[in-house]
Amino acid sequence: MDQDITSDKNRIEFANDDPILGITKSFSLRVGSRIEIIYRLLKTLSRLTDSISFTIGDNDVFARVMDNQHISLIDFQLRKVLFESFVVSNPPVNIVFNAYNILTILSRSIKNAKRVELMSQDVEKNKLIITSEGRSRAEYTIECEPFEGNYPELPKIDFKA
Amino acid sequence: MEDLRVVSQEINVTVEDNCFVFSTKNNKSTAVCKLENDSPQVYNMSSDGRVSSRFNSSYIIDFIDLLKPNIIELEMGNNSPLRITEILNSGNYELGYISFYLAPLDYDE
Repeated sequence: MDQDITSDKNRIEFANDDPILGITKSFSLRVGSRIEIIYRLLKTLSRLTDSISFTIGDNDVFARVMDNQHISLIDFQLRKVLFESFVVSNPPVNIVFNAYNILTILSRSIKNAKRVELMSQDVEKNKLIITSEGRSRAEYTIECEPFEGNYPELPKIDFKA
Repeated sequence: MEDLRVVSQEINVTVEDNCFVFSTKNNKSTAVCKLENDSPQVYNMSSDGRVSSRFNSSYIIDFIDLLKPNIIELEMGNNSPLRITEILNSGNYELGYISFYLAPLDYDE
């Protein structure tokens, strides 16, 4: 049971799909104190690559990042239960953003914010909005881009130990 | 293990008789870090014969540094990547996982 997810009364109403423009892919992820986990994860990923691609599915956020030299790879999954609120429209939503930009914002938020929200009302519009709420409220917008969602294959481990 | 980064660019990891041994390139006979089944940090370990691989010391130390002492799994085989997995949890909730794969220095895909 995902008991610690807030009810959908707080959910954000996204624009309906436009029959002419096509399907709108959007999401809103709210995190409380567990933002530290996400910050640590993003910091780790930033050691491997400048731009981080991830996929928001029905029940999780996942990604697979490989360094340019193909020496190391990080594969992760963050389940829905980690988030206070997890709303995604037309999953899977695949986006890529600059690691440095988001880490700069989160490094400020992590100290004072009680809640951080990552949101895009339409990933095709290339905007990721990050809102932090605590003693004060701040809203930042960074660029993001949709991507195909193609990930490298996991290396095969000839398991012995 | 942090000192190893200065001492050697390579770390040799050998698993034999249910024992993970981390040693330097120049002195494989001397263990710098040893994980055994009866170590307090280890709750389950299994191996099938002797497994050995060499890894870039900076990468492996960085990865181990970044992991918190949650449930961590280490897996490896001969000439195959080392996998280190951290299970993210909070109380009874499993929040997800992070897996690091590190290719050995003589890895041939």
